[in-house]
Amino acid sequence: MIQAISVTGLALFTGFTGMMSLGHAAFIAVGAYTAAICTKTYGLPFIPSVLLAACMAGLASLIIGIPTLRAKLRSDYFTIATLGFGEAMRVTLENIPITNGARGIANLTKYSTLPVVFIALVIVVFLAKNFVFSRYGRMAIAIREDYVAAEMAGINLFNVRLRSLFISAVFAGAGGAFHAHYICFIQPNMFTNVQSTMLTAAVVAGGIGSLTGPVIAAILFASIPEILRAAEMWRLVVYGGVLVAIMVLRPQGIFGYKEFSHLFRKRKAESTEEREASA
Amino acid sequence: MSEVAARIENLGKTFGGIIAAEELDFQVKAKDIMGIIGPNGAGKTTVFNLMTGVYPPSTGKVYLGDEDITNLAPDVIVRKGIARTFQNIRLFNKLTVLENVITAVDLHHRMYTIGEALVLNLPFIRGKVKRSEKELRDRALFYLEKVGIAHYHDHQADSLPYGLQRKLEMARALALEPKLLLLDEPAAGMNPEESMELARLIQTIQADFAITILLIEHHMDLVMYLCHHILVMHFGRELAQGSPDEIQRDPAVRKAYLGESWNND
Ligand SMILES: Nc1ncnc2c1ncn2[C@@H]1O[C@H](COP(=O)(O)OP(=O)(O)OP(=O)(O)O)[C@@H](O)[C@H]1O
Ligand SMILES: [Mg+2]
Repeated sequence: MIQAISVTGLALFTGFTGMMSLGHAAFIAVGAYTAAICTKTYGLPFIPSVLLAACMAGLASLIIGIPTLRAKLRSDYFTIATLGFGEAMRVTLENIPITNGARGIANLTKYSTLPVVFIALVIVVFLAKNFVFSRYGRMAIAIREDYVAAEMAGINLFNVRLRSLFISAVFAGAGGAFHAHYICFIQPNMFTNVQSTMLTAAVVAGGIGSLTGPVIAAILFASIPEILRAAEMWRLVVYGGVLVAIMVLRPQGIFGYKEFSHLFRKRKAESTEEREASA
Repeated sequence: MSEVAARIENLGKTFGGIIAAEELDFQVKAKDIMGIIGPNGAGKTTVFNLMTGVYPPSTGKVYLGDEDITNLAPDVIVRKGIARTFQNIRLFNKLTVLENVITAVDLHHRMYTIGEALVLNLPFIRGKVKRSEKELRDRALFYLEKVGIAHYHDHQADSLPYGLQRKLEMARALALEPKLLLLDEPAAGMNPEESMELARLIQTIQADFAITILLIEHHMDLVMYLCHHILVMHFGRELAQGSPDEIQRDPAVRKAYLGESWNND
């Protein structure tokens, strides 16, 4: 469920601006470390620590976002840049004193209880939903659909993309903060590109252009290995299998371009169409 | 004395070795409908792309009114008052017809900030964001009504038939409240009746919104009917310029267009 917070962040970026990030583990890492250092080293309460963590992740997104998005890199180059950024962040965490290097930070207090995480997820989904169904989400979707036409509709590509990346990173950072205070121990090698890829997998499997889908996929993906814990080494195979199955059976993802709440509305629209057609 | 809506000076563009446009000079009179014609590959769309900042010109300048807009970014140029449609339709396919237009209305009518969008949009409460969205919808519907596709507002844009997608592009461009509207082959794929119906729509739009229109077309009857001034392009250069009568009588044009329909009557 903690995973779902970060996935919501990535879903907001990849699903609605159409750009793939393989570096979101870096934002989770920044969030996790910021929160851990806040609570452990400075003895701050948990909630302000989470907020600070989210802000720091947001700042980190500006570091990677401003140069790459300003250069209007083609989206595949952007993806590679994020991949490099993720790796650079992990190496940085291993080598600066405040993070305690590769040994990591241990003995964190377990603040992330089920109700706390649940409330956080509800808040994050609420904010993400508001973003997506506002003019800001609409501009992001317009860019995803056709960036030339979007620009010609007066939309500033750089602003909209950076804004989406920033909010996405803020959510990922919050996710990281909760994660750190759930397993109570963090070290740099938890935040690898494999982690980023898992997030992307959840977004793609859940459905590009949807929030509900990725959240459900994230929860599913997190529970599959729990169930299969005995078969530790096989879980990645199962992941792969599930992903391939989804891609083959439903290339648009479980909820591609749809929300759970839309199913009802869509059905209504279809039936009116049918009525018109038969009339 | 009539005002000038836009002026092109010595405009040129090369792509690698290909000269797509060269030494072009023309003016678009304010509140006029002007046409650009020419065979395939003559460089007509390139002129639109240069005027709207899709890519920078290799030589020359573009003025909107008296203002030099050469080398500005597309979204800045749109704000200054040029809107366009595309030869190969470019809609926001997964958005609805209405949302496509709202995206454009939004340019001059932004009504809430990101903070308000994120926090104030509570379920079951009709707050500022929802009221603003309602107003955007109403404004967008106005443009859809103008081009006659308002009853499709709920449909996904890519589900519309081709001809209506072109009208939707026009509605979206109009919603940007331009001074100068560029239409790239608005009648492509239409039969003669449909294209004359479109011509009347373009006239209505020009009059109702009091805007200037520059259009590219291959349908000669439409061009001759609508435009007061025509630029003929050939291999990236100006072949001729003048009123429909002058163009139809021009020997160079007749030669380039030998066999085209309007030469036969
Ligand atoms: N982005 C580009 N890169 C390379 N060459 C280009 C590019 N855009 C246009 N050209 C070339 O420039 C020339 C003019 O193209 P343009 O699209 O302006 O013609 P057009 O008059 O609009 O033709 P049509 O009637 O077919 O639309 C063509 O030879 C085309 O191949
Ligand atoms: Mg063209």
